[in-house]
Amino acid sequence: MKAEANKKRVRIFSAIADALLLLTGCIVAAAAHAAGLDFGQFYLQSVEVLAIIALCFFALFVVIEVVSAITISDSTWHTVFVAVALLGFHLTGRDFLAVMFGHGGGLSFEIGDILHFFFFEVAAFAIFLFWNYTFSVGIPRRVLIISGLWSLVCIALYSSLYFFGLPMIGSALFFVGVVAAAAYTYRRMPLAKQMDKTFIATEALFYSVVGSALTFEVCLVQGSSSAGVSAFHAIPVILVFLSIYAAFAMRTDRAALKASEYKLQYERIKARALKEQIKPHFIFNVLAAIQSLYRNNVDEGDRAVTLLARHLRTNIEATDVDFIPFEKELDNVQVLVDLENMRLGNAFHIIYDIDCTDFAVPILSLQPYIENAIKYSRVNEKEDGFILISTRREEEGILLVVADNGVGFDPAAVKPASCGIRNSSERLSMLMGVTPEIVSSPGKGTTVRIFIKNSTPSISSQIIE
Amino acid sequence: MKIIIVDDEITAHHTFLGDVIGKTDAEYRFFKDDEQEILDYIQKNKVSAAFLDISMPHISGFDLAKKIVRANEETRIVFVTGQSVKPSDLDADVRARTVGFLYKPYDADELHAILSVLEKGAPKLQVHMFGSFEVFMGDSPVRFSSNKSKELFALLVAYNGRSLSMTDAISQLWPDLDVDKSKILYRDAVWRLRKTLQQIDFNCVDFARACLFLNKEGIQCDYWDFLQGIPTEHSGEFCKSYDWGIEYLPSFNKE
Repeated sequence: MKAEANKKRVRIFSAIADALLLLTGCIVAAAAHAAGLDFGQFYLQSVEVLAIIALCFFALFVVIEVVSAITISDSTWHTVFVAVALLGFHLTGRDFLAVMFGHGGGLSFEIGDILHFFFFEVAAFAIFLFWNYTFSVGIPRRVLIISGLWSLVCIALYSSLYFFGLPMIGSALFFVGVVAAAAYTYRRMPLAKQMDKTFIATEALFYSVVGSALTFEVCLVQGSSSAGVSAFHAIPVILVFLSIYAAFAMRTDRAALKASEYKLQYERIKARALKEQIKPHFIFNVLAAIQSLYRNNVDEGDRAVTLLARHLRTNIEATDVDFIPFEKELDNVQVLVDLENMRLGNAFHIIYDIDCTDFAVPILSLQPYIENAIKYSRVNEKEDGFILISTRREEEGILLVVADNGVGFDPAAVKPASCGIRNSSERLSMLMGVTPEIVSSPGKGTTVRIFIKNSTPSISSQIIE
Repeated sequence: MKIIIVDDEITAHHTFLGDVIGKTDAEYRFFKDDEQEILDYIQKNKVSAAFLDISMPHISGFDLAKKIVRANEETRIVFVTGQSVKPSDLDADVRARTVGFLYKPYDADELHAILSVLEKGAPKLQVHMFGSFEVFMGDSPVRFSSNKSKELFALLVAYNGRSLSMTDAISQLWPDLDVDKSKILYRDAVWRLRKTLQQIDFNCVDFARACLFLNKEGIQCDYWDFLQGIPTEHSGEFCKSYDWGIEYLPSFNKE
């Protein structure tokens, strides 16, 4: 609960910071206006220097983004887009145009204003898309199309009304859209995702860009000079962009580290499973049984050798494979049962109640449960004893059950599950996120239920041959 | 029929292979993995099949198969191996001429099946309904993994190509059991039948949901012959150990 409260607090702080970013430009411009200051006159020299430095930064961003998009992954093309839009946004700002064309104003400023608004829209929209993609917000296509059309309408209004002195109608409409897009995104994202560092950073970027445009519009309406505002505003934008890098770098590093640790741990578990699976005493017992069978009947001996070979082949193959089609795992189980039945006086009776087999399981993950039933259930001593293996397709996934009507056990009194079972459930949970549920009570038999959700990779993707 | 067997460790398997192949009419000859000698022999003799080990020191079984197939189009290939191989590992020419895979140590049944395919082409399933129900693949009896799966197959044959619904099957095979239990046993029998047919590589049953359908192609059955008017010897007994067999008796005792 404390962590939850902390998260909420951080979220409130970041919201306040965003609001400040959004309003910095407005506050500075309004304060300057109230004090009768004119940025253009006061900081002319420094603003020009600042605008050029900012330009260099933005150009650098674009280059870095492009290089990383080419070398790392295609997902970074989104950030290339954002960086290019920001560069355009900065280049068409009045401060930079002043550096280029002097302070006289004229047509270059007017076209610049329209382009400025255009790039602002593109940057905002690109960030919106970036959220949707990177944090899988899952914005429906319909909403994306509507928001795209909305932006186009706003640009059309802005540019057509600009020369009548009423561009703010277009920009006001777009601000409404921006607020709606942000609110929509929040509503669809769980709080945990909203706490992601990259999200908070891009959110800050979003608001500082919007803030910059807002300030510009406010200045335009007031008729005061906006000189200096966009160049000043470039500073928070640059800072935020840098923080996105830091967040991204940390995230990828951590993810890579986690993935490699995970793989190592999985390999260890699997190696142990294989070692445990090849049980010397079992193999020697089977060999001894085969020896006897040959004395009685050569054909029986041949068949037993084939069975043992199949059993060993499965175990050896398991070193190269993680998943195996369920039907094959069942075949392996049958081989094991045949071998046991050959060795023991009383046969084990398996009932297959199989509704579906179109999924895969970690190799050797079913066997330990059957082995356990063979070892402890004593169903072969009962008249109507059985081990039931069933699969059932349900709405949300597949239910796999291994049940016996044997002696059962008291879960509280018995030592923790056998190595084989522990190992199998570790692999089931690592590879499929599935936890087997074992229910048993003395005299009532044992039931193992494994529920595999539809979203599990071994069902949804085609691991099955 | 001439067969060649190629393996770098010949002596190891001499006895077993020789013993089994010797019981057929096939002539067989062993070769070490000497490519030239093998190809010479293949060009000069009409070799029906080559049994090739896959991992050999001088040439791999896959490469050798390619050359053999090029040298003589008639020669079929059987791969003999310790580890698993998928048909998709082979190139298309070789795959088209591959009859089967044998795993070491040999499964005598599989070896028999492959030899019989080589000798007589695709085998027929022989079904005996009169007297007690028996099924043969080529010469060897089919081993069903449970009595009920065998009985289910008998019922399917008796249905003579008509589809058999789950309810029908249950009412004939488990007339006295409650519904839930019998459904489970029915599905168990279906599964086992499917596995048995898979094992003899003769997938003649269409396993639809709650309904089975037998594809009669490639099956030879005394009862079907009888229905078509072909004179068939029968003792007046039909699937003798199965209760439902009696229902069929009047239909052919009329004459």
